[in-house]
Amino acid sequence: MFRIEPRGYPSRFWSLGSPILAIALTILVTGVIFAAMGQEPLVAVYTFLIAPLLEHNGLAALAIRAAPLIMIGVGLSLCYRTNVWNIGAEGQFTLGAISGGGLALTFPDAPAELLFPGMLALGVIGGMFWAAIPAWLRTRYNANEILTSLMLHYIAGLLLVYLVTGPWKDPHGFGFPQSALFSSTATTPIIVPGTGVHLGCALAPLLAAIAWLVLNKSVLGFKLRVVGQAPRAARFAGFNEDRLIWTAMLISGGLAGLAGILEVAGPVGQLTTTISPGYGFSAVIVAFLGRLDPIGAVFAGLLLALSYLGGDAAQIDLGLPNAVTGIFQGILLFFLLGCDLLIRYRIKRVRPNPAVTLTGIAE
Amino acid sequence: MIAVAVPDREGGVALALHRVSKSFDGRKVLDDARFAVRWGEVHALLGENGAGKSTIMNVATGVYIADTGVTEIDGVATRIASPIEASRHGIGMVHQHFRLVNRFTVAENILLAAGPEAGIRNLDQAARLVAAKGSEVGLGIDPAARVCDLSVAERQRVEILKVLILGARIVILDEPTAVLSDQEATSLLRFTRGLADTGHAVVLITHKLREVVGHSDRVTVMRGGRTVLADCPTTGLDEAELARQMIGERVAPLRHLEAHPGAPRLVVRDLTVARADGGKGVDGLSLELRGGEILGIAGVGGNGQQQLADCLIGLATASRGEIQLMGRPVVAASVAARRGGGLRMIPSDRFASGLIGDMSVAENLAMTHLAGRYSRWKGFLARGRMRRDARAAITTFNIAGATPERRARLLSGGNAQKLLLSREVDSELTVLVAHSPTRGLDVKACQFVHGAIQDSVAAGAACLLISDDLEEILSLSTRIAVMSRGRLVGEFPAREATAEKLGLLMMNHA
Repeated sequence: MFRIEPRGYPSRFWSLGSPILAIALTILVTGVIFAAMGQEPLVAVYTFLIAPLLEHNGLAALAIRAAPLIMIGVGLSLCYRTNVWNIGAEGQFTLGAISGGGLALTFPDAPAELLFPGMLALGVIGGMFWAAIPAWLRTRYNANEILTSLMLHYIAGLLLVYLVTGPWKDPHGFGFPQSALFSSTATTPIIVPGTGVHLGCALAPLLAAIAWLVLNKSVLGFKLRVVGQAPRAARFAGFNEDRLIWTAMLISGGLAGLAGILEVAGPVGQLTTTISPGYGFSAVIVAFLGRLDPIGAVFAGLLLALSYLGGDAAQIDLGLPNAVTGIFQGILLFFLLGCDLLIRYRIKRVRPNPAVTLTGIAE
Repeated sequence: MIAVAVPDREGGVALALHRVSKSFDGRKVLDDARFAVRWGEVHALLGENGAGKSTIMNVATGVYIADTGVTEIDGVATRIASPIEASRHGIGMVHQHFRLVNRFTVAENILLAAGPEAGIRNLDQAARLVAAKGSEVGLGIDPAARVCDLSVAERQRVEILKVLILGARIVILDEPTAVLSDQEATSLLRFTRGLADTGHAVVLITHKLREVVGHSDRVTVMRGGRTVLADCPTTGLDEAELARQMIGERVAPLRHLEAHPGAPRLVVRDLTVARADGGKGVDGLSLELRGGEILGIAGVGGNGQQQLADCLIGLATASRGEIQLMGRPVVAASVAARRGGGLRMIPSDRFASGLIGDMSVAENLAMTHLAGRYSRWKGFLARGRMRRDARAAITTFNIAGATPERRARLLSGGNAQKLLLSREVDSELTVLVAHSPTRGLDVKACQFVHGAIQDSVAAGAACLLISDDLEEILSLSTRIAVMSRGRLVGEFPAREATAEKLGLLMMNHA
């Protein structure tokens, strides 16, 4: 018989070991699922996780996919460290895309040195604005930010649909729900010619490094961590908890908005109803897999980006639905949450002793 | 009331515990204690907080396993290793903190807690049983009501019914009246009498003299984990003597601070603070505190002390009244603003409010002075200065086992408290609120904490000492007040205070 019993204090070993074990278990189970779908499991796993990297420009494709995931994941890491549960990064991403994209569509001929920075700024502000709503509801009315931020994502999505089927619809777009293509001055600069690797791919790790400095070296980061770990002790010490909740929400919203505008001004090139394959939600997994550490989010973002590439490859090479991406991400989160149990608990083999067990239940 | 089927053993000893000892982490909470209750009686178990009353009853019900000692039921030595075994032997306990699922109905709770043991198979049966048992013993309750919609008194009825449905003949009630209004308490005490009249053995854990003298047949008094008075009939009992037994002989304070009161530093007028459950925690309390004095607030825990402390530092909002700190009104001010005025606090829950276990000693020390002393260039943390200051504090306060980098949770209770003191008792201190500052500490650590408080007051600070430890109140305070039901019910200079006088005030008003 096994028993789960609490450790005295969290295990540092399992804090890092848990994601590695979770990744291993996920690959194992994904292989089993591939086998159940009639594939040779090893070949399928190879096609899903390794082959995409070996393709021509495979690493570039990875970087492009990883950029938004890392950027949003970094913001969410900071936010979750503060014990503020922003689940609506997808909506903040969308609002960033709408705000910055709106500028691009309104002033397509503005000079590049004004237009693109303006789009980035508006993207950040749009994301912040969308995150400010749950922040206000939380600090003013103590409304649960998980629900409010999640629901605002749907509103943002519908707003986008309205805009690209209504006022911002491309008149020359054959009726498709999409805006006009952004002008060349309103496009995210490519930094490695011929690969599509854009400014965001460089910005993401840079922002991760800055976030790491803020979190670990600054007074603000210290306060965010204290509020996250021990809100009562933070209030006792005189911290303004509401202001810190606002800060965490605005940082994560701003970064999601930035990722949104970089994405539509880069790889997507216009506003459409499908600007994101769920980056905002996958970034939640990025944050947890990266142990809520901005540097960890870089590595986790690369893995999740790979799962997107692998989904495409599985669809093309194996004829599998690209839902395998979602399945892989879901299983990964499942195992990650499960393995995180090992951080605070240990599993111990015990001889059956009914009396002791009964006490345990009654307690 | 219809008689319940209880074997006719009137007068015989129902439950007896002999020579029971129990330690937690090396600290003895029961030391050779004993207790016995007879069939057909209400037996009061009296003692201060921490006297071991609840612990010995938790041993009787199998929640704790005693280190040594014998439990006898009906004169037969019995090993009780779990609450379920206790219930099979007819022992049931109603705990102070209810164990009900608030979102479930009464019947669902009964099914959940008593289902298999009492042979209840479905909800209908549970509902019928609740109704039947309720009318039998006179505790009517709607089986279909959700627990979250019930009043505290009604929830208590559900707990009692649960125990009776499980077949308890020995019924233990842990401070049952602490959560009730006067009328509810009277009705509950009448119910316990009825229970005893039908042959049950009833144990009433309490610290209220009124309940001992008026509503029980016999009393056992515990103090410091020992039984100091066993099996004493309550008729003709002297209340003062009982209070003395409960509180014991107090050692004279070694060093009494002479009060040299200066200007008022903390003035509280007509303060009312709500409790989390909506009741009144602090109810129209007023006090005045001057520099150079220690105002001791005695009282049984749960009489609004926590709400008072929270409201003074700014963690809880006052619904009425005012607070002045150094002549400035601060009732609406932030914690930071109050700290800026020199208010400091030692909270009763060291690790929930004061310190953060998973952060380092240096970080814990720097927490309250981040804005000025510990931030440098562009808002970065001054780690070097934090480390140096921490090292100095560790030396000055002799915090054993501490290094600036060590996590606070790895310190022992006494050393963690020293860490907290070294942060709170700083050069800007004007008013110190110390709430149970030595709870759970050993003698040496106690002395250190008391010394630090007295030193700061001798240097001109004002101290409000809130404690349910009478010895601490008597040995430190220059002035003493008793807190009961959210207000101060008596106040006198320390030299006029005696343990007996305080004990009577605490227990009669409680």
